[in-house]
Amino acid sequence: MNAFEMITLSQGLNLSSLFDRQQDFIKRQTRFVSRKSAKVIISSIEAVAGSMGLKVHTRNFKTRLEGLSANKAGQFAAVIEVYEVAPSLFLVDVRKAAGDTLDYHKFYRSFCKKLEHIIWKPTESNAKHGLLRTKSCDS
Amino acid sequence: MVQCVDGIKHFCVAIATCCDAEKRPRGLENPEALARETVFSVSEIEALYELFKKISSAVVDDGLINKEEFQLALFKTNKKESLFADRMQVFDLFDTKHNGILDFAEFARALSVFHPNAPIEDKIEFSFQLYDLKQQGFIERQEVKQMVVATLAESGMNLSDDVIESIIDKTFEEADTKHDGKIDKEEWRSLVLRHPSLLKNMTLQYLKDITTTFPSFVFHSQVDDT
Repeated sequence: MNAFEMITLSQGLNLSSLFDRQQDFIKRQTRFVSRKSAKVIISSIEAVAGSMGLKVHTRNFKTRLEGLSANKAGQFAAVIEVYEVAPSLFLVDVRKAAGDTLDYHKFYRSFCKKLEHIIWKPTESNAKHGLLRTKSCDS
Repeated sequence: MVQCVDGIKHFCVAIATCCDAEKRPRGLENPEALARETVFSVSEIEALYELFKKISSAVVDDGLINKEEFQLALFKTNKKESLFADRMQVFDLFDTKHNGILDFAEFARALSVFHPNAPIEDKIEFSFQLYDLKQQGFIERQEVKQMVVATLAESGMNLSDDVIESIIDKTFEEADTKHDGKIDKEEWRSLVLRHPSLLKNMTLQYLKDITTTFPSFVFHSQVDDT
């Protein structure tokens, strides 16, 4: 993964939030880390999304999820990209593509719960490896 | 001359007593000129002005955006959420007059670069300036490292130093074709032309629909939308 690719994920350099009508600070982007293979990550994401009633389109390492918003009144869409940060260390970036930001967060919370088996959570031992110190599924 | 009152936005009708300049809200004296200087149409400029007013009145209602208001608009909080909020690189690039505040012209001209129709050269230039933290005319390893760390910190992630160094090594291997430890404008340009997704944060699709997101209430008897 290119360092600049990572930097473009930054919320600080993303001006889209200028257009957010909501006045509360709600992160529009969320990420987690996985140590499973890219194929496993993507197929798990697709399976979970399907079970949540969302349409799934994947191309290369980018997946788009689409569906109706929680109150069925509008569109909801999220885009997921998988980046290889280091050998067997993948960063999964999930962001809202359409719909209400609060809906997105509800979606993300249950999405993450179902993906617990692929999300890498640091434990005492692997924190010592110094590879990664992080909150798990951040939201 | 009869001054049009504040209800101008709602009541302005092309009646003889209101002269042309007074039909427009305070601060938006010449949308046609701004439209000529940017990729926006006149009605897009007017819609952008609605956004500007919203942002610029958040803390001090003076028709100008200060750093705090900009940060509020971007992060919806005045807590320092990230290095970028701290350094306000984006703000400084918008602030072409370097006076610590953004007037509407600076705002519109900077956002013009983010329009989907803006020339890619402008986006390449802007992004280079953005990453050249020390404004030295090149992007150094240290600057890249700072930005990577800041980005990860946003999600509470800290990769180990080794991992970060190896990511940057690979990046410089590809980008630094002159092998001088820095990325200059030329090298940046050829890197992003090879990897256009590196410019994705330089385009805001919302700007294409801005007239629907921020409808302006200024009535124009004749809008020249060329």
